[in-house]
Amino acid sequence: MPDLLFEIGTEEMPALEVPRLAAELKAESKRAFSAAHLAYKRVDLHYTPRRLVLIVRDLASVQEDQVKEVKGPPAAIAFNPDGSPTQAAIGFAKTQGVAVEALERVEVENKVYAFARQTVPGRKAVDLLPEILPSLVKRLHPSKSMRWDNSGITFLRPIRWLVCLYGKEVIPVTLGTLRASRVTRGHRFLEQEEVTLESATTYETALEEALVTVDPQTREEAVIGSLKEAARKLEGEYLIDGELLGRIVNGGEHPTPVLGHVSTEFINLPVEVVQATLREEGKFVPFILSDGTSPYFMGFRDGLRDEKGIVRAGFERVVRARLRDSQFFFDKDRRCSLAERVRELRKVIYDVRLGSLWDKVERIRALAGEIAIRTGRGTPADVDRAAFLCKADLVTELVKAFPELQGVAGKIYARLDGEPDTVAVAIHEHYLPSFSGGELPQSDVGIVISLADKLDTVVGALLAGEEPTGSRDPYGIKRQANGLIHLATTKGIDLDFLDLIHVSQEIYTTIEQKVEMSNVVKFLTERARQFLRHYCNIPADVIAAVSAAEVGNFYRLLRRAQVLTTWRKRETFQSLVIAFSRVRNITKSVETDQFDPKLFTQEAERVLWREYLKVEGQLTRFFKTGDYAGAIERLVTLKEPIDRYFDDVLVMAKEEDLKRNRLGFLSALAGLFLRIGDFSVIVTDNAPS
Amino acid sequence: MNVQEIILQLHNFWRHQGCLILHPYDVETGAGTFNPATFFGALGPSPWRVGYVEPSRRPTDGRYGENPIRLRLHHQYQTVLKPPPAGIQEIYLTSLEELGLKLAEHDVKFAEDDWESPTLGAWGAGWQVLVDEMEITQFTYFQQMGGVTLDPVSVELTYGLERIALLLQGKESTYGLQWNDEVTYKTLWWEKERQFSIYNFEAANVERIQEMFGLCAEECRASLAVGLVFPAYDYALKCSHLFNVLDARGVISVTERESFIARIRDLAKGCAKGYLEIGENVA
Repeated sequence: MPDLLFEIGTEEMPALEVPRLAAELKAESKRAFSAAHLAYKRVDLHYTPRRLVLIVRDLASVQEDQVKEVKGPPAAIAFNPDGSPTQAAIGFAKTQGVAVEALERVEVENKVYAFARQTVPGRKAVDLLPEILPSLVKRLHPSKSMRWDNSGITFLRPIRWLVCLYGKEVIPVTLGTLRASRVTRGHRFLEQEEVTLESATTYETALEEALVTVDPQTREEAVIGSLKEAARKLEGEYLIDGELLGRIVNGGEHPTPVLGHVSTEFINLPVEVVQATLREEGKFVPFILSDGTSPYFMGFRDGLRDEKGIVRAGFERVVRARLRDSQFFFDKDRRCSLAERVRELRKVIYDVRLGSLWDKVERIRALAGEIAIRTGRGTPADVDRAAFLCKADLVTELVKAFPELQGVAGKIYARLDGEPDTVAVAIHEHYLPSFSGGELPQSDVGIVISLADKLDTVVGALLAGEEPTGSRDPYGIKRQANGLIHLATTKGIDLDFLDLIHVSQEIYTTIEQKVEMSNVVKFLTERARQFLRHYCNIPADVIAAVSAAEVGNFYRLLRRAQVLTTWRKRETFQSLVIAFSRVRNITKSVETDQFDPKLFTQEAERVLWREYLKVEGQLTRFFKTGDYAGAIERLVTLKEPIDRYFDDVLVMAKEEDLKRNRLGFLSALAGLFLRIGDFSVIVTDNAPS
Repeated sequence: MNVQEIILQLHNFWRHQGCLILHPYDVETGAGTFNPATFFGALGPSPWRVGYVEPSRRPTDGRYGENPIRLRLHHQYQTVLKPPPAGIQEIYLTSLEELGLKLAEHDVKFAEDDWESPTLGAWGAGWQVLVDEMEITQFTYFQQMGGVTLDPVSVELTYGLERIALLLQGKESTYGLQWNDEVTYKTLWWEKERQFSIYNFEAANVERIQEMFGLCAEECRASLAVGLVFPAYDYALKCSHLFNVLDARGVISVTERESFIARIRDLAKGCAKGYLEIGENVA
């Protein structure tokens, strides 16, 4: 069966928007073809900035026949006792367009009706396509739509031509003022731009000959391939992210590499600034060499190879001009030290409810000081200095021009100002991780400031009532909280953050504290659970178990969860869970954990009590060092005595004092386990469900 | 091709496309879009085609004459076509070829750059046209102007004359350009760039400029109140320029900035509304 080609030719669409729009087109077309009962083998999708292309392989030329059934009057009304049709049946058959003799009797819910059944022959694809294809275009949702003529059509960019071929046949699809033909356009800068297509099947090769690589995957491989090759020759690495790659791959129809050189006049400009300048607006890919310099970049020409070096010279000229601009900003910034800039932060509003950036800096200083004391990380002087300076680069020209240099610019300027290196590094590191799973701060001071800044942002946003809902999260506090938890767990920050939020809250003088801190607790606890689930692959039941104990110390929370995740598969642990569950169930509503050993009457009670005392002492030591595996190993030794206890001892004794004493003791015993988590909610393989 | 030949060539090209050839406006503007021939020309239903040079003042872009391509004042060649012809991209590229730019030897890209002017209450969809990654033209389909949704839409092509001259003359720095065959760009403009950079960044008297802003805004509103749209628009333009000077002077905080822009936008919207009330074809 023939292939169908549908090409929507446009003026250049935004590089970062095309892939999303193309995916939408593919999904819509699949939906439309199955709704139209047109069978096909598969849908291939191509796109460039100038075209969205659907190729539907082996599209059926005729719709599948459809059987149409319509329920008519009840048989009792439709037919006389002798089986002959009544007026009702004749009328029904007529409106349905079937012979009255063809009416059938069908039982529906214990009642028999007259039914008209007919086979509607499928329509031809060539007749359906002019209805289906234009509606696909109208159903797309570009991020921003524009008008370009008075046709009433809106789209991401003006649509200028349509091609629609079914096999070799042109399907006259119309959209606005356009009518599809077999004439497409090759690369814009070819002498002969128009290309007449023979058939849908040869589309890709015909376009490749006209210097258009319609398959984005092929373009991406070519781009990456040339970057890799250049990196190998230069003995360096190329620096690219998804956005820059997307801009290059979808910014042209035939990207061809052009290697350029950075003028030596910028040898004194920090390499980060050089790289940011090159990457600006998604133009050039910097290389970094083993000596830490970035003297080369790669740009991509849309078209043929730059044989004469004209494009390279042009690229280098643009780079030179932009680097001069960066140099101008850099020199201007250097007229004033970072410390002097801090006072400008008073004029920058962070949030009307939460004060200026200076207010934020003051809060970071207070929180960071507290974290430093509690964790013993960093010297108080370094921590305070780094906190004082950490936002100062936001008012520099360089960061205004290149927002992604926040922190990096601060580090560079702090070093040039002669600040201690620990302080300079911390200014940069306090923004880390800059994306989920990104690089973490390594230095003690960087860690402390990073934690303080993130905690302040989270608490502040929640106090201001900016609880994230759906995709709305103006302060990005989900990401901030994840970064905080990731950092605390990875770097072993042995600190209760739920305790620390009260310190954080007290610092807020600019806001009326109507919001319950429980909101903050709830938010952070939920983030911690999500982190365990999605980032650390902790099973849901283990998360439920550890959540029953202290959760604010994220580091310990993860440690407990990991140890339980390992232990829950072991047989010894499973029987321990059963033993603990007995203790837990009987003591759930018991409010005291007080008991008097003198009231124990049976040997099994005394045995368990002695074991309890031993384990309790040891556990305290294990908890102190965070050795939860050791702790569980000790708890396992309680299994035997617990089982014996329940065999021998009647907890719910008739004597009220004995009973109360036993419940008190078991509560205390349960308490040992509960410091790690509620073992009874852990699902083990042989546990009763 | 020297700068004045480029201008003459573009005049000639667009004249043949049915454009009126007009002149720069004689009030300071930040871009050709602010010229009444574009601001008012884009409004209303009647067809409109125009081409003109606009010296564009951008105080914050001043570099004391020390940056090769960034300028406090650059020259735009501006064309507006309402409604846009279907082959406008190709017509535009032909205009470059006719300037002597061999497009086949260069890298030419239409890179997304939707245009928005918060002070004019205007936006459009379009590109910056990059030749060897240097921006030489802003290409915009206006969708809204002065807060008014346009029907029909217009297309605006804004050539950066200095950038194009750099390409054509193969020069590194704007100051090395020939304005005609005898006079260089440097002779004409360098000292002005230097002085205005010092003025805009360091010397402008903040109190007086703020006062002037207030006075011009008053005058604009007063003119609007009695239906004098064009005098009002001149004062709106002055406000916009004075705001740009204050911005370069570094005395506008983030919050103030918003309110300054909102004030100018309200003036521009008032002008657009007043213009449509008295009926078009008077621009």
